[in-house]
Amino acid sequence: MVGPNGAGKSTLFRVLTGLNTPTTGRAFVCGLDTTTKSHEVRRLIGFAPADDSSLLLRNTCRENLVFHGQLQGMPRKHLQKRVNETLDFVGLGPAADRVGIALSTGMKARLQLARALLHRPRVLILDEPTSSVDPIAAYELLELIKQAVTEQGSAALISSHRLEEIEALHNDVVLLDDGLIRYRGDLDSLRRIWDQPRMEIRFHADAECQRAAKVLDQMHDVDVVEVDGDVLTVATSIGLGKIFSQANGQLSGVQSIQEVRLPLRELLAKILIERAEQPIQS
Amino acid sequence: MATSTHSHLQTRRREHPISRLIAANNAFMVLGWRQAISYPLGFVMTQLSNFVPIFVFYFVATQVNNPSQGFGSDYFTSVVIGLLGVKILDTGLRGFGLQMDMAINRGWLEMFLVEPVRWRYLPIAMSQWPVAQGLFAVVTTIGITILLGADFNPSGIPLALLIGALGLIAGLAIGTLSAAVKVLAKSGDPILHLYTLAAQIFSGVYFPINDLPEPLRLLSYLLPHTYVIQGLRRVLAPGDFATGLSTPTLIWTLVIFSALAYPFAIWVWGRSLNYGRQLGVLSGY
Repeated sequence: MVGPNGAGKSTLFRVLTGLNTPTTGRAFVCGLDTTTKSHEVRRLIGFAPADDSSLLLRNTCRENLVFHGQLQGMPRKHLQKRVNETLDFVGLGPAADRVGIALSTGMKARLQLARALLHRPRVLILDEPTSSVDPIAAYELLELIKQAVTEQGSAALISSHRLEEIEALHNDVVLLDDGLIRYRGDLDSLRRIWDQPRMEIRFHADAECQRAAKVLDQMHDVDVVEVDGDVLTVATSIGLGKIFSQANGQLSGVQSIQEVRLPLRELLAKILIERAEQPIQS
Repeated sequence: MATSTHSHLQTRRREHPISRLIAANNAFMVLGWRQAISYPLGFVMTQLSNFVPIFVFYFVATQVNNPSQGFGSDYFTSVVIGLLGVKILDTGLRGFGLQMDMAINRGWLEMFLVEPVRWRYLPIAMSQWPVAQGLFAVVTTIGITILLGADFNPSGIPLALLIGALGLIAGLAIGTLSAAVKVLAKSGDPILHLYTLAAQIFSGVYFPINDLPEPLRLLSYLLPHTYVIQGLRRVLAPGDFATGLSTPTLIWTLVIFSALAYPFAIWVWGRSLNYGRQLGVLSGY
C-alpha cells in the first residue's frame, strides 16, 4: 500500500485492526466485518505498527512474545515452543533474553515482526515495517516477510514509502490518495495504463542531440522529456521505426537507443498529479 | 486480499471465555510485576511510602485520649482501619487508571486494543497487578500496626475480608468509570482527584463522621468509603458503635452498590471504547 502522507494508509489500517470504524462504507477481513466482528477479526490478524514504542522495551524478547501469546490465548506448552521457533525464524534466537532497550533498531523491527507472526495469523498487517531500518536490514526483513507469508499461507498488507521495496515484492499494489483508492492491481498493469514508454537516444555529439530534439518535438505522439548533453529522452507510444520514418532522415549521428522505464517514484507521482476526477481501479 | 487455506497452521488457542480471561489476567499480572521491578528504587520507595501515615498517626494517637463516640475506643487502631479502608478503595479506584496511564504513555494501549482480548476484560486483567500490590500493602500494614500496638478484633476478620472485597469492587467500579472517560479525553483525571479529596474529608478516616455538620454527613453516605471504613471499624476495632448504620446495613449497601456498579462500569467502558472507535481516538496516544 502506497500513498503520500495523509492519504489514509494508517487510517485504513486502524479500520482493519478494529481501532476505527469507517465513516462511510464497510471493511472486511477474511469476510468478517471489521465494525461488527472486530473481536473475531483481531483473532485473525497479526499487526505491527509503524514505530517500536508498542514493544515492552524493559522486557526481554522472549517475555514480549510470551505476553502477546498469552493475550492470544495460546496454551503455555505450545506457546514456549512457538516463541522459540518464531525468535529463531526472525534471527533473534541468540538475543531471546536480551531486553528491548538493548536491541538495535533493526532487531526491534524483527521483534515487531516476530510478535505479528507468533500466532500464525491469516492476515499480516504491517505498517511501514522497514521505515526505520537501513536498506540491507530492510531487504532481509522483507525476505523474512515473504518467507513467512509463503510458509504460513497468510495474506500480507504492507505499507511502505520505499518504492524499490514495493517493486521487489512483485505483488499487487494499492495506491491510496486522499482516502480514495487510485489504483489497485499489479505493477505491470499500472505501467501499461500510466507509463508511456520512453526511449533514451545517445548521439555522437551534443549538436546532433539538440537538432534531433527539435525535430522530434514537432512530431505527434512524441514528447521530448529531457536533453542532457548527447542524450535525448523521449516518451512515445509509437514504435521506433515510425519515429525514424517520420523524421525522414533528419535524425543523424545516433550512437545507441535503449528503452527506459519510468522509475516507480515518478510514475506514482505522475498518477497522483494527473489524478482524474473519478478514482481509477484496475 | 487472498485468504489462507492453510488451516492446519493456525495456532491452537484457549477458547473458553473464562480461560481467556485467566490467561489475560496472568499476562498483565506478570507484566505489572516485571515493570515494577525494572524500576527497583521506585518500587521500594512506593512500598515504603505506604507506611508513612501509620507512623504519623501512631504519634498523633498519643495526643488523642478520648475519641468521639462511634470512632472506637482506640484512636490509633481506628485511624489505621480508616487508612486500610482508604487503601483498599484507592487500589480499586486508581489501579486500572494507573495501568491505563502507563499503557498510554509508553505507547502500548493501541497494541493492547488490537490483541484478541475482549475489551471488557481489560479493566479486570489490567487491575490484577495493582490489586495484588495493594493487598500486599494492606497485609503488611496490618502486621506493622499490630507490632505498634493496634488492637484488632480477630473474630471480626471474616467479615472484614468480606467488607474489604466489596470495597475493592466498589473502588474498581468507580475507577473503571473514570478510565472510560480518560480513554476518550486522553487527559488526566480531575474527577477522580476531586472524589479522592472528598473521600478523605467526608468518609471519616481521621475523625468520626458524627462530628461533621448534618448536611455534610449526608454527603458522607454517598461515598462507598464511608460504608467500608465504618464496616471495618465495627468488626475490627474495640469500642462502642451504638450510633451509625448497623453492620448488616453497611454490608448490604456495599453488596448492592458493587453488584450494580461494577457490571455497569464495565459496560460503560465497552461503550466508551466503541464510541472512541467512531471518533477515531483509540490510536495515536
